[in-house]
Amino acid sequence: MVCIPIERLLAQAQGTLPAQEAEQINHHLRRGCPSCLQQFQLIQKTLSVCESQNLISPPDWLLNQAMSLFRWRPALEKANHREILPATLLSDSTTNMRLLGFRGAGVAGRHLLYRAGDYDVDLFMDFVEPARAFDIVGQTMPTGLELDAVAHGDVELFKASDLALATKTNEFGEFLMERVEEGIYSLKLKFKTSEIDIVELRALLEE
Amino acid sequence: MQGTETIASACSKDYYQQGDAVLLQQCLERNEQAWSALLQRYGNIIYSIAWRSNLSSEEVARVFQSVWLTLIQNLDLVHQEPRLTRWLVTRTLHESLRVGEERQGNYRCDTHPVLSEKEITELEQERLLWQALSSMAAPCQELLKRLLYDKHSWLCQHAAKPTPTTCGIEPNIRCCLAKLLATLKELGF
Repeated sequence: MVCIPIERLLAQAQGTLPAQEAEQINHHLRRGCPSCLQQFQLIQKTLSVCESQNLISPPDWLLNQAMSLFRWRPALEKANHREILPATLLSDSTTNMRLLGFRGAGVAGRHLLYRAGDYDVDLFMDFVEPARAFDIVGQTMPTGLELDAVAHGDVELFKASDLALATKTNEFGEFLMERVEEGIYSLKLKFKTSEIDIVELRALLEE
Repeated sequence: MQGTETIASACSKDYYQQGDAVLLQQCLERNEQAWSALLQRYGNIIYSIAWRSNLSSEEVARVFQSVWLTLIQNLDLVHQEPRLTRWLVTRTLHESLRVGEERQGNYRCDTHPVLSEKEITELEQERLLWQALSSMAAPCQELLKRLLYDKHSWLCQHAAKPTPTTCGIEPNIRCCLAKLLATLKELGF
């Protein structure tokens, strides 16, 4: 019994063969050629899966964030008994604006919302045109904790492993970092019991 | 498939063809390309499950990152896991439930997932097909995508004269399709 070429089996499954050839293949399959039958069934299954198309690809920014998390390494020995919480990026206004078709949305200002354990961190990066730098305004909000959990915490901005800027949160968990040069940073927010790590914070004009 | 170019560019073809166990071992050794390959391989099913769990886009983002973070933090345990898909799917369902119910303020461990086992199986089959296609060389991949997904091309393809039996530099349907089916079998499709 001579087997049917695989591309003809595909054409058979797609129903695009002339009637005479289709009948010949059907006859071959009915006679029980195990190899062709197995291939044919696999092709049918593949075509059926192609029909469904329910799988959705994650957006680039989310993949990049998952990539950044892999690079994130908690400096446990420096934590001073604080719980180290990596922040997950929930929303990025630049991405949202791009989806709406605003190509230059990243330049004017960028709003980022992070979540780390029981904390939300809101960041607003405002581009300061003359200085070609960013002002970063942030607020940490505890969810289910007292507000003083985020009061007077240390805020440290690192470029690679170098400390670029440092400040403190006020009694409401707010902070301001002025004239941050363009670059990719990591931001650490250190409170009494927790340290929040924001990895690969991108203070960039265009991406 | 959209949204994968950036990460894909960080990951060479060799990594796509590696098994999960090898990639996990390489991740333990801090290999970013291996991690990127895992993101490529499983990112879509994690995202799809979260997306179909009645969550907001922010919650989906949170679930997606939490699952990957959990994997990072448990690499030493998970790298011995024979079925990484199952582990990731379970984590995603659990995390989706947790995040959804946290919003409603009534998290319970015993709640049933939003997606049925059948729906998850269908997603996994789609993912396997996508993984098999991704592991192929670009010309073959393009040919097969056109052949399988573009119904308008079906008639034209099959009206063409039969393809030769040997695999040359140019992709031909017979070789590419045979490779795809062999890969699918290997993946347990």
